Amino acid sequence: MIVIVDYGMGNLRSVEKALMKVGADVKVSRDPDEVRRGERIVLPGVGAFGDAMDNLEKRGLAGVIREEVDAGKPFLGICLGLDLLFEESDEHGLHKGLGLLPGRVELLPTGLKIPQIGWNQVSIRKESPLLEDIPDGSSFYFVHSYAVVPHEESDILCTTDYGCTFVSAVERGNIAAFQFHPEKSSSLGLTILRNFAK
Amino acid sequence: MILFPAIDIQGGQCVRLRRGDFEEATVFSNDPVARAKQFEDEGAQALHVVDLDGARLGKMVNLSIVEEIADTVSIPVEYGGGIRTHEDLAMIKESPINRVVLGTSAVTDQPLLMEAVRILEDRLVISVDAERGMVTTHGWQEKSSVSAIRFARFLQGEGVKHILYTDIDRDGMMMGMNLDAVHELAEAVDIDIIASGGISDIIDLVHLKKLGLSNISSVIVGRALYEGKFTIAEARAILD
Repeated sequence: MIVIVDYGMGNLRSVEKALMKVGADVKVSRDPDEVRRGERIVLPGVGAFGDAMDNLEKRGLAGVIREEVDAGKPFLGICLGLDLLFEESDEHGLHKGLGLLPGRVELLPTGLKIPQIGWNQVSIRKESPLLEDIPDGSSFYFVHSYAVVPHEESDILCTTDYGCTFVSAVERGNIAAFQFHPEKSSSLGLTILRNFAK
Repeated sequence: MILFPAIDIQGGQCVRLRRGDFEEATVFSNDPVARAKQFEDEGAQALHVVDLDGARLGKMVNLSIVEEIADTVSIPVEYGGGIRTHEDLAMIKESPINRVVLGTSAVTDQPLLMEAVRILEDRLVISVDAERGMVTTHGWQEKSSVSAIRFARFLQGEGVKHILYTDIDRDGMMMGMNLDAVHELAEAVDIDIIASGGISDIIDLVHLKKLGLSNISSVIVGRALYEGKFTIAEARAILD
């Protein structure tokens, strides 16, 4: 069972439907015990970093996610769910994140339009079972203004150019997360979700 | 540039009109959801869905079908037609629909426009439907005294991020896009323009792309795809 963490940040239906399409047994839940019982955790979300962390703490989800991920449970972050993995963000004031990976979240240092909305190419920086059958340079769908800046170069899974080069995916052990939306990136996006689910 | 295949829903069917005339509908499919899936399978990177009944009646009639489309495909879905109230905006905000198009209400109801900008932010698209350069409303049935250019500048000032520009003289007529009008609009504002109306041949896409205007991000194609004038793959070979 994959548990999609519902913490009041945006519509989770697209992620749920996409995981169902790839044959995953999936449940949307805001119950910390259910998150603990699930075999895999998906943390999606759109919106402000600070509100997101507040909600995770308030609902008792932040601690459970930290413990379960530390214990080795496969974790997939999407968009805001990527940002939240890191130690802090300067989105509308300084906010602490989950701190599962070392690094920060910063406004995209680009001269182009923010937020970046649309399809963009992804360069694969290291091998990963999640990117099996994904050709280097494939396009995915992005909606974001902020990007992660990992301290450890080895955590970088993908990068993307948007008037600057930013980190569009990270991976360390059981933790993986994408800045783009696999659930809205057509068949290749579904391939990533299928790779995560298997 | 991104190609948005258009899915217009009337009476539960997937139709194309000519110049927005509700009486002149050609039915292309009885199953809009299946048609949407087919567009995705053919390589579409986004879909533009219009509730024609909603646009005509001024209330969301086919929202459940649109949501079903958004649930079925794994690409972004843009939706418009019949959104007129604050309650509509609140409902849409929580839906799986990625972008929302407001037409009439943006012209006739400024408080609603400002509310839409505030709560939908970048998910909001305002459609500027022009007939000989003047903005029309109510499913294109009523003409206003505002020029498309002036209206577009006003929208930019209000914080709108995307404009969907349709030349209704050309829409569904398979006579090519009014490129001069699109060009003029794209130079009048800095915000993102989605061009629509009249694409009938692959060469129209070549011309649009050749304008080289970076704020024309997308193009909507309807009848030409349904009539098989070109495929999505052929279009993407030009637009990507």
